[in-house]
Amino acid sequence: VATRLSRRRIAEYVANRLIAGDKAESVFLEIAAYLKDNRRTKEGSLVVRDIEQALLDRGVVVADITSARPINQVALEDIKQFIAKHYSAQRVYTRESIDEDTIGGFKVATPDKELDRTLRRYISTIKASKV
Amino acid sequence: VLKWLNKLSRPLPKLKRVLKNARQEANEIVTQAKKEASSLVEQAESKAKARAESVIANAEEEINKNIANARKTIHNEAIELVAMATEKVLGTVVDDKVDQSLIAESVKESV
Repeated sequence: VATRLSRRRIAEYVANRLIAGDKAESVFLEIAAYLKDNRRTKEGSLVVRDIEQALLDRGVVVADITSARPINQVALEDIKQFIAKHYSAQRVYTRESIDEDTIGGFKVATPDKELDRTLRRYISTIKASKV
Repeated sequence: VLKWLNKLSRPLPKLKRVLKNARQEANEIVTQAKKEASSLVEQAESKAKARAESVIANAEEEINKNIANARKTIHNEAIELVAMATEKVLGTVVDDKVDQSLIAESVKESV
C-alpha cells in the first residue's frame, strides 16, 4: 500500500536532489508526475513554497524581486549579494517581475521575509500617518 | 351717661394684650415670609447660575470637539494631497536612470 507523502517530505526530497546537482527539470517532472498520479495537483503551489523553504534551510535562497522597470545586472548582483550575506547563503536564485504600480525601487520576497524598498511603499507610509 | 361712655371708650386691659400679641405675631409672620422669599430668590439664582455654567461648559466642550475634528480632517486631507502629489511627481520624475540609482542606493542602505 502506497503511503501518502507529506508536502514536507516531498520538499526535502526535491531540495536534497537539487543541491546534489540533479537536473531541476527532471526532478520537477518527477514531482509533477507524482502529484498528478496521486491527484494532488492542487497542492502544486504549496509544494513549490515548501521546496523553497527546504532550500532556504539548506543555504539556497530563492527570491522574488519586483520592480517597476527591469533591474540592471549590476544592481541585480548587488541585491543577490545582499540576500546571500543576510542569510549566509551559498547560492541565491532570483525571479524578477515587473509591476509598474511600485513606481520605483524594488521589493524582495524570500520564503520567510520581505524587504519593500519601493516608492509605492514610501507613499503608503505617508498615507499611514493619517490620524 | 357721659361717665359710662368714657369708661367704654377706654380699651380693656385684656384686649390691649391681645392686640399687642397679634401685632407681634403679624410682625414675625412678615419677617419669616421675607426670609423665605429671600431664600427662594437665592436658590433660584444659584440654580440659574449652575445651569448657565453647565450650558457654557457643554458649549465649550462641543466647540473643542469640533475644532479637534476639523484639525484632524485638515491633517488627513493634507496628507492625502501630499501622497497624491508625491505619487504624481514621482511618476513623471522617476525614469529608468533615476530608478536604477534609487535601487542601487536602496541596496547600499539595506547592507
